[in-house]
Amino acid sequence: MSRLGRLAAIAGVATVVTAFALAQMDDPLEILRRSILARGTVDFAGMRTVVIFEGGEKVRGVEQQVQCQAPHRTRITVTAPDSEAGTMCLIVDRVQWEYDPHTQRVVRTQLAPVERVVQQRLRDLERVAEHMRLQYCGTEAIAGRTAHVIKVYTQQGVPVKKSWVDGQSWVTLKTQRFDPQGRVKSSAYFTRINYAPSFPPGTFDFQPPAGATVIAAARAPERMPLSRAEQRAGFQAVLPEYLPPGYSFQNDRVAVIQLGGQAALWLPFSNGAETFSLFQRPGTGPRDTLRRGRSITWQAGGYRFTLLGPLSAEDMQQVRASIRP
Amino acid sequence: MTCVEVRENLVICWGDADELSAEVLAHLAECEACRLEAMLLRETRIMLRSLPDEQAPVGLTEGVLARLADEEAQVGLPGRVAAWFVPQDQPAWARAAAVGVALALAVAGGSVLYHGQQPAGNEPETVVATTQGQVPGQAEYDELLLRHRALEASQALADDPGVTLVTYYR
Repeated sequence: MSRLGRLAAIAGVATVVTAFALAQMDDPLEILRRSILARGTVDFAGMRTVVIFEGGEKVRGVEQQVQCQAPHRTRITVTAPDSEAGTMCLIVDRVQWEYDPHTQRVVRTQLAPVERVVQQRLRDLERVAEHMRLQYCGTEAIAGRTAHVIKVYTQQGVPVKKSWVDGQSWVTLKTQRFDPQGRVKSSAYFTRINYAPSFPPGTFDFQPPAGATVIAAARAPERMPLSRAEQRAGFQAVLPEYLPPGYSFQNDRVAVIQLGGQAALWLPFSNGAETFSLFQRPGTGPRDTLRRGRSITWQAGGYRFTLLGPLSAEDMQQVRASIRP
Repeated sequence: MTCVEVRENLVICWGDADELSAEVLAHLAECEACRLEAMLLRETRIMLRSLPDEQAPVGLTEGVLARLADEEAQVGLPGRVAAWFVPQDQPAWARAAAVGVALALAVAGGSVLYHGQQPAGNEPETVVATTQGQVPGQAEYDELLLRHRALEASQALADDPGVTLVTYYR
């Protein structure tokens, strides 16, 4: 057989094997598991678009350059719009930097070892599989790659997340998140991706600029059952009577943290794909509901509450109204 | 969104970008006049915060609110208060500044009168004005947000930090 013929034969076999593998790989749990395990194993660089929606309407969009060098280096830089360009997130080994040149704010976060994060996510994935519905939706092309499409629903049938996972590298190429009404509330997707990138020297270097404010994130607190947390904090939790569809209280993942020198209960709520937090501590707060970013703070019954997370303004108000000390 | 609507939003939060909607921020990116107004409001707030931290005397706020309740207002509370002090045809920052200065002076002055009338060591029964210490500041918000994001990042279906950066900031 000629050299050309052999190459054609190899290409043909590879195509058949790939097609066969894709056809066999229709277990959504296994695809998500491989996606988690792929973290830190693949070099890639590409351009990604992130769009945020409110009530089904697009309210914000940014373009990002994503550079990932296995095993532990990632740089994500906003390239557009101009008003946000230069904002970046950099991960080198176990340190994550976030820098906004417009506000001159730097956030430094000490990360857990990647192996531990992967194990935690795999355990969490088992819980997702037990409590949620995973659906395999076939394959689609994203940024020129063939991707498996997985949709995650609550047991009540509310869609929460859709992921497009590269069929060969297992890198997540696109994600969509949905609000409780089933409308897309965020979308992030690669428009270009290259799995053989070269990274210019200094790509993963960072020093906080002179004059920037550096904020250090606190270490993760111990998680415990509610009863133990209440005992440690010295007061009872006030739980909301209303939760958005699909959400439930994470009774075994409560924490006690110090806020302003006082013990505060940190109460997490999750629908399996997303989480919002309720912080409760004794004391007073603003008379009216104070909104800051994706949080609201208010006082009631001798407690000060802060609700924080990716909920819509409407859901936040409904949850807040149902907290009655 | 019109400049008038944007400026009503600016007055409510003193131009603080953290509390403005994406729609307002988009307008500010395009409109120099509104950006200038936002800057003036922020500077006015900084000036007001530098005034002595005093509590209002009992009854002052109730009296103000009672009078406001009598008005058939067409605009929000800050707008109604502003209309008391400065004509509606003045810029929003001027109205907001006037309200802030007037209330600050009233609180400071009222406090002096109030304490002059009270026996020594007798605390006021009602705290009307919210003190700065009771309002969660940027530092507290940052701390809670970072803790929350760390929790989210541990979850199986978490997005990478580049996506959450867009979700939670600006």
